[in-house]
Amino acid sequence: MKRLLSIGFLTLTAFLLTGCGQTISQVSKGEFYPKVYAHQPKSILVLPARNTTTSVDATDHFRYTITKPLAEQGYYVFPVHLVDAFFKSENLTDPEMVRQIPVKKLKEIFDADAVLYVDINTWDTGYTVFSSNVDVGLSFSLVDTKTGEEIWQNNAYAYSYQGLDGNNGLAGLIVSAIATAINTGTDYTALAYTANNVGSRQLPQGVYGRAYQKDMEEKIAILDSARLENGKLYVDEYFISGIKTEGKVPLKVRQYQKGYFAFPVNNLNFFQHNGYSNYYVTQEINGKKFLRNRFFQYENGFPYLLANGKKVFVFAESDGTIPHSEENGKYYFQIDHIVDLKTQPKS
Amino acid sequence: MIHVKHVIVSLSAALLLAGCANTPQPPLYSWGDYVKSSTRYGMDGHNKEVLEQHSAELKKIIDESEMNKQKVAPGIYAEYGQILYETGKKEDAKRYFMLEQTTYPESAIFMSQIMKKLYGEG
Repeated sequence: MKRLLSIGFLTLTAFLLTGCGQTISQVSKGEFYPKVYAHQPKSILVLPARNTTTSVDATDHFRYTITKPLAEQGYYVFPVHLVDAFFKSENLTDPEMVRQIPVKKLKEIFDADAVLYVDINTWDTGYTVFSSNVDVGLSFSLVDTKTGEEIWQNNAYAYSYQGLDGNNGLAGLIVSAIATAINTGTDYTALAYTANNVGSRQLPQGVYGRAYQKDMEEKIAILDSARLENGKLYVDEYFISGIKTEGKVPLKVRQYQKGYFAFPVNNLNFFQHNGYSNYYVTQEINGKKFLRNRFFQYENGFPYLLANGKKVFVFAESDGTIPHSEENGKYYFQIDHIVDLKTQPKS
Repeated sequence: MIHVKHVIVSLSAALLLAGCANTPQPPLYSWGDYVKSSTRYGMDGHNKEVLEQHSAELKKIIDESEMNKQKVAPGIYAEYGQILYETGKKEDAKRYFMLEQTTYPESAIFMSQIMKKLYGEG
């Protein structure tokens, strides 16, 4: 992680020196996640994860590894195994059935302030002679049980890289290659924990957290992936279509270093979207289905991007798709409305 | 090339966020090897060895937290109670269900439901 960090700093510095005018939106956590502060849930009930990918055997890892990250954010997390035993005793053995229970009912049974839905919607594996990687994409949705409102949503992306360690040089290469031949296994528990951890850390802290309510003023700086110009929201072409390269993941940008790494997605395009074969994911929350583009943030169910220190809400079809337009090779979205943020943008 | 740059900068921005906005804080609770142990128990809890290992891990976490005068993490007492109950130590189990309830009032209603189910009382 340390190495990753220093590389990041170096690259950023190098980039700033080149003087390209990309803007950063600074936003306080209170502005970014207003509903969490408005509702202030103390306790979270995590529902069984839904897996819409081809990997069926990893699903439970995600459910069991999220307790610690959420508790460390300061929330009371209902004990997962006891919750499962309770559902079982009520003949609710199918995870899908559990996810269909209305949140109001869950409030009655558990007295949970909020319910967390976790969707596993990307699962990609890549292999070479020397390495293997597993990539996973998650969507989180936190729903207030009193009102049924979604108060927080987030996407996270994690990958495991096993095998040849690119930082070991040639001698390491030979040693690693031998080691790799023996074992390139990915520890799903570690991968799931890494993904859950980065996803949870975006959530404002709960009542037991040291920064409870104080983190409201904490600033988050997010590199704009869109530009607001002449009443239109422009994005680069790859935001629309990705870089259409043939073949499976490995992704373009990653550290060839053994281990487990994760990122909140937050509109960052660092994967050039290679890892995502589709941008749209269907989430089912409190019995309702939503089609969502995972590179947008959602507030009250409406999609927006940060640009020039504003929340720019874009027009979405009733089925959830977000249409784009093209003009002279430039791509843009239709703006629905704009919310100015108190925090001033920084260029 | 410009794309790659965007990509890398976004990455560094994300790292800057992670690195600077919050100076790393010590964890709120002791967890021992909970993540692994709990996952193994969840996937293979019928295996006696797995169950015993998880039980021992939970006990260790409770002892460690109490020794460090730390609050025991959410759910740990309840989960330990659950395993005690499963292994026939029903009265010990009850003590831990109640500990969960008093340590975390958020769990009060759920724990009463559980105790009602298991012991037929409120």
